[in-house]
Amino acid sequence: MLFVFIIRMNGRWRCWKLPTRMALSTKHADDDSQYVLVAKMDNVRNLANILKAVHFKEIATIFASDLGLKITVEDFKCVQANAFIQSAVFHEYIITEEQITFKINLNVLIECLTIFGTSSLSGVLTSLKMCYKGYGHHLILMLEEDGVLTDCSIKTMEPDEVLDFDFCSTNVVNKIIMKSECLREAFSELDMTSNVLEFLLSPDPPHFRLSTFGNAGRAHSDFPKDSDMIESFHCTSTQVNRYKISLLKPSVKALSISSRVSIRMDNRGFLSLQYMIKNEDGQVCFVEFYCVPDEEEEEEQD
Amino acid sequence: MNCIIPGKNIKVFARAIHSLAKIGEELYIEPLENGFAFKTVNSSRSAFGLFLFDPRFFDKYHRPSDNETTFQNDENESPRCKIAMSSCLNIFKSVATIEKTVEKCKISLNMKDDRLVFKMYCRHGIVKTHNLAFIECESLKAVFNSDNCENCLIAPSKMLCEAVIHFQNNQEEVTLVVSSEKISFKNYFEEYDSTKQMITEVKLHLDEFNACDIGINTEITFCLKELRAILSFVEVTNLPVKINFDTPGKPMSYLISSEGMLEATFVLATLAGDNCSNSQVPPSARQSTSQNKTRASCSNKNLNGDESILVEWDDMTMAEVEEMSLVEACASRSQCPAAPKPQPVSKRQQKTVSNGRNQSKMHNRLDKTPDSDEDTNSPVIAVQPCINLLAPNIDTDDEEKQNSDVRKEEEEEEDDIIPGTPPSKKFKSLFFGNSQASEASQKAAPVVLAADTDEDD
Repeated sequence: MLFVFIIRMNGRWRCWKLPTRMALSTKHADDDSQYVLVAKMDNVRNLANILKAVHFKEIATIFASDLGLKITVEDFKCVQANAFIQSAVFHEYIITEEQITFKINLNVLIECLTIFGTSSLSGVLTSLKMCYKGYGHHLILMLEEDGVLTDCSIKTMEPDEVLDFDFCSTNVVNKIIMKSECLREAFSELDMTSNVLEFLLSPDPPHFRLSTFGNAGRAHSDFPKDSDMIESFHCTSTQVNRYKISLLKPSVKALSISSRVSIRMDNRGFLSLQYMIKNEDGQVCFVEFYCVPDEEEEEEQD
Repeated sequence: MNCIIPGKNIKVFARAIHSLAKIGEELYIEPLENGFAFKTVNSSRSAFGLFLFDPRFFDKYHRPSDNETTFQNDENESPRCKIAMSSCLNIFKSVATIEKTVEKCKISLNMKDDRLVFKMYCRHGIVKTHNLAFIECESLKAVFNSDNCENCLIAPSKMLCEAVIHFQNNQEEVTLVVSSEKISFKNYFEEYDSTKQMITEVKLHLDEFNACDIGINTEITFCLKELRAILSFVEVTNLPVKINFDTPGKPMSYLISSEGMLEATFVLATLAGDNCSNSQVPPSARQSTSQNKTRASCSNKNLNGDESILVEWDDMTMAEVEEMSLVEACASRSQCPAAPKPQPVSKRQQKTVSNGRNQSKMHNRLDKTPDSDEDTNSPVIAVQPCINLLAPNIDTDDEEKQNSDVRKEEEEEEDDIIPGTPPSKKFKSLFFGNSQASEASQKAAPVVLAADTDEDD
């Protein structure tokens, strides 16, 4: 016996089938071949949490390759976030094309992935099967929790060109790897009346300094290189650059769930923040942010 | 100036700042010989808070005169300054974790850049520096002497907190009723409506207090918000509170002290006489007597030579007193369903009253000029003014906000045409009433009236 509920919600069709455990295994075993991408995962939160960390704009571009998924979100042509989910994070990952690219509404994708709720207290895991037939097709999500199944079908969009920050590790002048904890604290205490956040990286004291220039006055936090929070310190010359706080703010989400962060600045003053995020199964994913510096002229216009 | 707060005391300090932030919008900082003073006063100047941290509270405490080599240009006098409360609050934002993260905090004055510097030395060698802009100002003082008070209570902090918890969050004022038999807190309503409002009375046993010295039976009404601010501090530090108070209309004070650590003083204005006594009487009952009562209480106080109230009422011209009482009478009449509604008359009165209030507000602003601290005994806490050009600007902003709020209220009142509704915040208008004295004495008043920004709103 099979109960099927089909509900139209927010302009998308969703269908619930009960009981479906058997239906899932029999129905899909044979027709996986028609998909160019099939990815399965036991705990959908591992994916949802990473997506939430880059969720500061509605539209995301998804790149799939042998290595895994890369989700790119951009804003103002000034900041770019990339979330990397290696194929190893999925318990099954089959891709038949070299690279697949499509754009998708990230709000909808996250909403669908968390359709059974986000609470981890129940101890019940939601499993996910994600399929994509190829260019022009919907992204199909099948979520199952405790015998309850949800089918979601999300429209995909024509991919646009994404920004190329051309951030090359050979051009990196200064690099710090530190535990996220103290940076998280520093970010939470930032004076939000300031437009910019200034990063100072230097081989000489104060080594690493974050400064704000708000209504109440200047404030800065210094992190000496011998602090036990700093795991690696490779600074070759002093660099001082300012970045708009509004551009950096989206990265706080990723910072808050990360365990380590790598701060890099290249010779043009471009900033890269890489967050290492451990998921519930102890696997490591990365989210990186690129941000362009604030030019002096711009600031005068402000 | 240079002082260092050790890590173990940082939490108490942060709590003090948080407590002051609940009262005022500016933090006055004054390093004194007997300790480091942090003060604030609220925008209507009906509440004043002071924390005096003993030099022993700090690891190191240097006033500029002790340290002439570093502060050559400022060796003769200790700096007095004020900073925006919000910026200071931001430094001590996370009270819960501050004790764990901060190892010591250094407060110093950077005379070169004119900045007040808070330097937080955190664990893992992280140093956070906050350079705050400040405004130099005169000393802020509440003119109040607790020794003259008839009544004195010493209450354990826990009991006070538990008593206050019973009042609703939106409750603005409470009345403290004391007699030799009982002490109780009850909520105060300007206009009591038995269908909508609930009376809460918390009775306390005399032996719950550490000490009770009651000279006269009295009922005093004051703002709950400031009491909550005080209690937010004592709740954590668990220190007993000494409350000194007198008759209605006279300020009450709260003293909290910890030997060799700190001494906190809060002074709150209380609601003037006649309003208190009938706080729980329904308007219909008040109706017949209110007109006479106002006058009676006025003359009574004169006879008693009760100076603070005298000033209060003296300030109002007799016409205004009449106006007030008329309005009150109207109000009570209009609330009584049987009474006919004298609409046209009351509308006119409404306008005169609101005009009167506007004037008093303006004078309050005028009050901030250096030579106007004449009426130091009124329920308004007399505050020594700041002689900085910048200061009035900032104050004006607050006041403007307040004024525009009041105006909005007034406009609403006028739009609704509720006949004879008294000014919605008589409490405040009473405070501002004191500045009416300056109206009579200062010829400059009309000029200020013309320049009032209120009209631009």
